[in-house]
Amino acid sequence: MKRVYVNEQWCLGCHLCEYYCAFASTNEKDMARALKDVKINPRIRIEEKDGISFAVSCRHCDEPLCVKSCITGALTKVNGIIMIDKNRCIGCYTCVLSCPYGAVYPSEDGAIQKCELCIKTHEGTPKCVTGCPNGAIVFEERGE
Amino acid sequence: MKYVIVGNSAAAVGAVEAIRRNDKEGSITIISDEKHHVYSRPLISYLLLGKTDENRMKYRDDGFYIDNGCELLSGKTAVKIDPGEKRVILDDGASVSYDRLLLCTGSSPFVPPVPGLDKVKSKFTFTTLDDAKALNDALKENSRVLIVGAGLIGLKCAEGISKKKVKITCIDLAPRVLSSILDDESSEIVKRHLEEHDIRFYLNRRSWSSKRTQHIWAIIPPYGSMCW
Repeated sequence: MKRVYVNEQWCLGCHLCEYYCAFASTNEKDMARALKDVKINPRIRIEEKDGISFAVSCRHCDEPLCVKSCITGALTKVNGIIMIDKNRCIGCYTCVLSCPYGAVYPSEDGAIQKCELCIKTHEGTPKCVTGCPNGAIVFEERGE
Repeated sequence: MKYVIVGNSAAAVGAVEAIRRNDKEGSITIISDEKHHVYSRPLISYLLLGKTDENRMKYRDDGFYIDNGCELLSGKTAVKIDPGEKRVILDDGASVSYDRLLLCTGSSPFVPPVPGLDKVKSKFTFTTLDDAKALNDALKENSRVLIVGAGLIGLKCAEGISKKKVKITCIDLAPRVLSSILDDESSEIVKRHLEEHDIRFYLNRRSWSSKRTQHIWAIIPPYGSMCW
């Protein structure tokens, strides 16, 4: 299946992917209007240190520790994508603790949130990928 | 092939699904003393908190047993196994024969021997849905709740009832909360956080006379052995 990958040598550390991620779930047409004065809580995050930066989001692991640790059954793997059922999630954050990539986050509504490859908001390539100005984030099949 | 599973929680579900991946024809019988559809036990504290409900606590949808060709004997307790005859004897005298038997009953609360405990009117353990419901039904405004054991289950219970208008006191033999998993420093952080939610602690308490607890709620979590 296709996954989001990052070529860190191309990452500028501009954080635009974070904004596109936050924008993707707003249903607004204009990013500036949607995110003006908003403290964003994206599902992809730039990590940077010593001049190196790269974006981190859910790896949709073959052996997903978040799914294994979920006490409610809110996290499931459907067609290779790890999905969150916010109706079931009670916000215990066990998945946040157990994700080795730090790619599961608390959300504003008390449930957790994570990258679901934008499939709940639109079809096609995830917004962080299309919005990356330097082609550092790609959506491709690598057979892993 | 006749499969019999004693227990009806996460392991039983895993077993049913694994069996059906390999054997579509064999009969599967599940024996459980709880009269409930398979549910998540760790969620009972969140049920009391109001963060979930019984329907959302179900691990699988309502058609799970039928879809997987399982017979669920709920409300029945397996009291004896006859390995020679390959039979499980139930509390009502009936028996179920098996070719393969899986015991996945989970843990049972250990209630420490406390003189006078039998005189305590309202006492509960906290591992099952029925435990949680019974506790919830018994709580009234300003109820004083004594939780014996500041381990994971005791503290989840405290969290579960912390939003109700009750006074919660937690005692433990150990000098710190969550003593089996946290060191002194991190334990102190957790304790401080809980105290901010009006949960009171008496730690390092080696004994506690139940005579003094006759008029308050006493809850005995499974790891209560260290408390007495």
